[in-house]
Amino acid sequence: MNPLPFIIGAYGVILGGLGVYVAWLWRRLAAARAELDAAPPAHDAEHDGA
Amino acid sequence: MRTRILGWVALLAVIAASLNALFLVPADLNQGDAQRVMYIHVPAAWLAYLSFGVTALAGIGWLWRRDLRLDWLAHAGAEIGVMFTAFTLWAGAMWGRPVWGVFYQWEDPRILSTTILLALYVGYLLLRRLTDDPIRRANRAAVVGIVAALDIPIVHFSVEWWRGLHQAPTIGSPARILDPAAPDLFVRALLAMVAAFTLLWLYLMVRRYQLARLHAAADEAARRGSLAAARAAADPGIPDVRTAQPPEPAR
Repeated sequence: MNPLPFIIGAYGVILGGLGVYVAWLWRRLAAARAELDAAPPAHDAEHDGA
Repeated sequence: MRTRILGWVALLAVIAASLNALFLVPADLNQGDAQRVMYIHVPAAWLAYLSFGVTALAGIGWLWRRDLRLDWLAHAGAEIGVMFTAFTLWAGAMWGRPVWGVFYQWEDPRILSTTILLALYVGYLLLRRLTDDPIRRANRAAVVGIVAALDIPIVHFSVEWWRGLHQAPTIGSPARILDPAAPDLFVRALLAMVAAFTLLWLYLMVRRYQLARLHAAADEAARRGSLAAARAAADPGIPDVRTAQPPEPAR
């Protein structure tokens, strides 16, 4: 049996999967930073009416 | 900046170690080129153990110290560990088909216990979604993360405790650390892959931890924002900080 497709399958899926995961992680990080930037300032909210 | 440098170093190390494993190391005498899958299968399994070990230890730490940063670390370990466990099973299937003649065998203790490990930590991640209360979520997750980690030694020693298709450890057992059952060239290539993937794991853990910290900060900001809105609704005399305009400067 020719092992080449299995070697390509193993390395391709794992290295490709890691690339996809890193991209997904970066995207979630950017979204979380944007969400935090859009939130009301914590300092004002904490001291409102004080 | 340091995390970014770590990411680049890890990327270059993974590329170099993979090229070495794929093209420079000679093929195995018995298994031929199919054995090259071992160089990515073993690091994936090691990092699955490491990730879930971190999750369990951070869970113990959370129950002891009540520091939410440990829960963020546990969450990072579980998510990354699930990915590496899936990679381990996938690479095992890609290695098993040309060598054993099957992709997967339910009767094999190593394969089955690894599948159970994957299912346990997928359950851990699903459990975390059941509540938005960070304390309750951390408590539940810590208990499940610790109990699930009991499967790690079962996975590791299953090849010594029971008979199955899976081979015994080449270098991973105490008796073989100093006397591996493989040529030095193969062992060095494997250790290079393990080191490179561990660097990448470290980078992923740092980034995933940062994400958990940002989510916690965003949740806290949203909670404070809704608290301020509720106060403003209860007492219109208190300005809503989200819509209030800054006062005119004194002329």
